[in-house]
Amino acid sequence: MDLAHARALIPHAGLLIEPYRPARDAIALEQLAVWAMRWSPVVAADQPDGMMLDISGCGHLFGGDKALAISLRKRLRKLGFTARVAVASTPGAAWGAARFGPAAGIIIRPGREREAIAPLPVESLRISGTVVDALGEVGIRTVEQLMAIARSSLPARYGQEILRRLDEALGQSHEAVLGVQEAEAVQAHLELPGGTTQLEAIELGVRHLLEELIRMLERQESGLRRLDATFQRLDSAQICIIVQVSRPTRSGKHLWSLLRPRIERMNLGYGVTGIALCAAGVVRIAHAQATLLVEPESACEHEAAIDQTIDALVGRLGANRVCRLLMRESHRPESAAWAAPLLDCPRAAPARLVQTQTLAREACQRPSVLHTQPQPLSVISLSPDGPVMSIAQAGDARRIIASIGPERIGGEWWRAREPQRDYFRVQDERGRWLWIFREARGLSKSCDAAGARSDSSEWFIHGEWA
Amino acid sequence: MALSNAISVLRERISLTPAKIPRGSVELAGVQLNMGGVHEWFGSAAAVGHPDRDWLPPMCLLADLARRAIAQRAVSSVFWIGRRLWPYPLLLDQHRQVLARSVLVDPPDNSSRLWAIDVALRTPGAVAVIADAQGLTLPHTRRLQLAAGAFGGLCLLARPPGELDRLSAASTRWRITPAVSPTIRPRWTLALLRHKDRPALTDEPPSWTMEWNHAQGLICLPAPLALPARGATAQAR
Repeated sequence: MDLAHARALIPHAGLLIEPYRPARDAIALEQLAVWAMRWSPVVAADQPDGMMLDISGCGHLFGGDKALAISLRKRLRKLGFTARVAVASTPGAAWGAARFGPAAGIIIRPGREREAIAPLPVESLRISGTVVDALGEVGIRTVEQLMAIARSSLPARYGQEILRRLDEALGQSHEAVLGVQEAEAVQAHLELPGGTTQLEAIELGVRHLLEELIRMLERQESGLRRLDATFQRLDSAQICIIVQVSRPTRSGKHLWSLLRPRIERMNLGYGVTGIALCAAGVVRIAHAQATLLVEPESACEHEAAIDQTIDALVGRLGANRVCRLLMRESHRPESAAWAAPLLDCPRAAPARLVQTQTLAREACQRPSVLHTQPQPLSVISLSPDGPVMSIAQAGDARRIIASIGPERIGGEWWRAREPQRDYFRVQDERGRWLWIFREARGLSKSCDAAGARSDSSEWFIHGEWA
Repeated sequence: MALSNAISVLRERISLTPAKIPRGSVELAGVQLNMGGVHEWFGSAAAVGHPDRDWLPPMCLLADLARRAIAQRAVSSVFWIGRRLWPYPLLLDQHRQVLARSVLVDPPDNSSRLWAIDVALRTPGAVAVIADAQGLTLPHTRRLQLAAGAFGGLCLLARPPGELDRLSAASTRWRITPAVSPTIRPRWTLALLRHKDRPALTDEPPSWTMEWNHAQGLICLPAPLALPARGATAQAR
C-alpha cells in the first residue's frame, strides 16, 4: 500500500508516518536477534525481514518445538510484530515454509522436508528473481515441478545456485546458521564498604573503574558512545550520570574530563557505598596507525579536538543546546530548515541539503534573519496588488522606497488550511531591506483620505537582511 | 601498552610542538582581520520590537567572514554561539561547506555563553567563533583575546548598538548601519571604530559601503558603475 492510499483510508490525525530507513531497520533486526537469544544461543538476523534460530537441543526447555514456536510468536506479537514461524531441520526448508507455507505456522519433522516444500512456489528456495522468471517462462512454478526435472540439466540452464539451494532445503548440503554475537557487557563495579563522603576517594574509585573499562574496550577493539555512571548512596538513593560523546571513543582522559565536573556537582548525601560504570553504544572503532612524530596541526588532531569540545559543550549545556543545521524540502521559510541536536546526527555524515535548483534560486532571495514568529504590521499601498507605499509597526511609520515582489508561496497541501502568502522584499527610507508578506485570505477594503487603500491586519514582517 | 608508553615518552623528548601556531588573516575592505584576534561588530536595532533588547547582528557579514576563514584550513569548524547568532541556513546555501562545518550552541545564560566562547576558542580545529557578546565586560574580552591569541581562531563578537561605549580588549571594533541602496542589493556602511595596529582613529572613523551579493552569497564593495562619483553625476546632468 502506498502512502497516499493509506492517507485516504485513515484520517490524518490517526496515521503515524515514518520515513523508510533500511539501515535503521537492519540495526533493529540485529537487536531483535539478540533479544531472541532467550530461545536459542544461535540466532541470525536474516536481512531484511527474518530471523533464523538454531534450536537444536533447545526445544525441550520450552516443552517442545511447538511450544517454543508458539512462545516466540506470542512474545513477538507483544512487541508489535506479526510473525510467521516455521520449524524444520534445515534452514532452507524453514525459510521457505515460514514465508510461503501456512500462516498459522508449520513444524516439518526431520526427513519430511521434500514433501513439505514440494507444494511451495520456487521462490521459497531463496533463488534470485531472474532464475524464478526463467523457470516461470517454461511453466515451472512449484518446487515439486522443479524436482521432477533431471538434476543434471538444471545447472546448464539456470546456474549452480538452484541446485545448491535445493540441496540446502532438503538437507543434502550443510548450511550453518551464523548467529549474531551478543556483545560482552562492558561494565565495572566497585563497592565502598561503609560508604564515603570524600570526593577525592570517589574520584579515585571512578578513575580506577574507568581504566578497567578502557582495558575492556581495548580488548574488544571498540569505543563507547555513552557512559552510565551509577552511584549508590547510603540512603538507598541512586544517582545516575550519563555522559554522551559525539563519536565512539575509548580515551580515558576525555571521558574523565566529561565525568569529573558532573561528579563534583553531585549530592553525596550521607555517603556513597558503590560505584558502577557501564558502557553503552559500544561499537568497533577503526584502527589508527601509531606514529612517532605527530604533526600538531594534522587533520586528525583537529577532528578529535572539535569532537572533544562538542562533548564538553553537550555535557554542560545539554544535548538540545548543541545543534547543527539541516534543511527540509519545503517552500515554507520557517519549515525549510531546522536545528537538530548534534549527537543525533554525527558530523561525519554530510548535512542533508536539498540539491534542487528551485531552492538554490530561492536562497538568493531569502533574508539573513528570519523571525521565529512573523510580526504583524500595517501597510499602505495604492492598490490591493500594487506596490507598498509605507509600513508601520507599533506606531513607527516608514516610507518604502523600493519594493520587489510578490513571490507567492503556497501552503503545503497535506497541512490543513494553510493560507498562501505573497512575499515582498522592500527597502525602507532608512535603507533596511525587509521581507514582508501578505496572507492571501483577503484584502482590507478601507480607504484613507488620500484614496490609498489601507491594509492593517493581513501583513506580517518575516525577516530582514542584516 | 608498553609500546604506546614508549612512544609517548619519545614524543615528549622530541617535543615537536611548534613555538608558534601559524596565523593568517581575513581581509575586509582592505583591512586585515588577524586570526587569533577578537573583532567586535555592533549591529543595528531590529525593525520590530524594543530597540535595546531586539537588535540584529550583521549576519550577512559574519557569514561571509566565516566562509573566508573556513577556506583557510582543510579541517575546521565554525562555532555560532548564542541563538541570536544562529544563521538562517538558506543564507549559507551557496556555501555548503560552511553549513556542514557549523556547530550551533545555545547557552542558557551569560556565564555559560562566556564559557562556551572560551572553550570553542581553545579548540585547535575551530577556525572561527562567532558569538553573541551582549553584556560582556572588559575582563571578559581580555580572556577571550588571550584564548584566541593562544589557539589562532578568529573570534567575531556581535554586540548591540547600545554597548558602543563599553570598554573592550578587541583588536578591531566595527559599527554596521544599513545604507540606502539604489540597486536591489542590501547595503551597509561599515565604520572602523578601532584598530589596535593603527594609530588612534580620528573623530571621523574610516567607513566603507558594502553590499550583499545575493547570487554568490558574498559581501563585496559596490561596483563603481552602480555608485558613480557625485561630481560625475552632476556633470552628466
